[in-house]
Amino acid sequence: MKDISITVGSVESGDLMVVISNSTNNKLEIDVKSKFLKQYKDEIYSIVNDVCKSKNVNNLKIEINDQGAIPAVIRARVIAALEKWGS
Amino acid sequence: MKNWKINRSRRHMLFVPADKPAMYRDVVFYKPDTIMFDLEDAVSYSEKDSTRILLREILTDMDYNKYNIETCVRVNGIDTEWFEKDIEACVQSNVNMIRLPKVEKVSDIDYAVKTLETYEKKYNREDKVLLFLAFESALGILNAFEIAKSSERIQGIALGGFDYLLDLKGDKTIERTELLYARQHLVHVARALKLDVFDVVYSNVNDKDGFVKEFKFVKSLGFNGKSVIHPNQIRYINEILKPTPDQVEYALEMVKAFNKSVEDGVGVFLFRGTMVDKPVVEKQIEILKLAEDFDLVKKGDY
Repeated sequence: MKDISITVGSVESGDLMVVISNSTNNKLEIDVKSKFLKQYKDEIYSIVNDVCKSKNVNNLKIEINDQGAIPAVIRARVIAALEKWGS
Repeated sequence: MKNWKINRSRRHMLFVPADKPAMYRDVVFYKPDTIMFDLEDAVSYSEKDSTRILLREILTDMDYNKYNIETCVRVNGIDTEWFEKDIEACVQSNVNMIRLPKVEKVSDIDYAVKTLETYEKKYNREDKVLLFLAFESALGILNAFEIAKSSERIQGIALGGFDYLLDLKGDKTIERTELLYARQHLVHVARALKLDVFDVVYSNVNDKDGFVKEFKFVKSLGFNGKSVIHPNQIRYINEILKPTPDQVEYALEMVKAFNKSVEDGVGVFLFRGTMVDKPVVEKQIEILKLAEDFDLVKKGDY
């Protein structure tokens, strides 16, 4: 088990920051902070979940700080963070 | 969109750092002929992988071609550990063209083409990703003709001023006289091979007068356009290239008169009392093609 965290992305407008660390309960924990949570909560969770599923990830803590990223950016940042975590 | 082809002359290629998500969205409004997303110098070593993923995911979803904008990616050099992964990401997404930095030998192109073929086959890509070459060293400039004719994918060539000057051990002057040989050589290579040729970036984005002076000069040498680093520079190029109403009217009249003389089978072509030969008419057709790029005329108008 790694005792570090991985950070990818930024908190610039249009981007999002992803921080990955070990899950405290050995499950997939997704925590999203976003100014746009009211409108896009389901979409953001769905994208993060889909990426995790495609990478067979089910026991990490994934913290998202969204600054109005489009779906491709959300996908890209989560993929990059998971790849960095895995490498 | 794969299989898309640019339908006008390339006048400006706007460099966009590939690690800035907001810029992918904003850049459309500046209407460059070609957007050049930069994976090379604009991106730090630690961000190469995440930026490549960002580029791949956005350019899979976004289609700049529907705005009549060509997409190009400046990949990392073929001698780097990132090159092959960069190529793979471009082939997977809506990228029309790859700008290869620092090419010096024909074998550089052979390697790039082989890599492209491998991934085009892997991802069943039907169209071929195009190539635009940047020459940035004395060796590259000297070998430019052989290199630029080595693949049918090659659409154009460009001079990379910064690294070239370092390689020359020259000094940067206001008039850029140190670039004259390379500029003239690349124009000759491009014209001999019917390719586009692009000039160096002008780094002082606040100096409109300097930019305009430099662009007018390289245009007189024969360059098609210039790589640009600020949206304002697109506007300056357009202002210089856009034909005037008088030029368009004169060109339309001459081309119509020429077409009529051909139809009538007249041997000698007189226009406004002066004998005109074919190269003069061809020059006017070039002006009309440029006028088309600015929506001043339509193809059927002449």
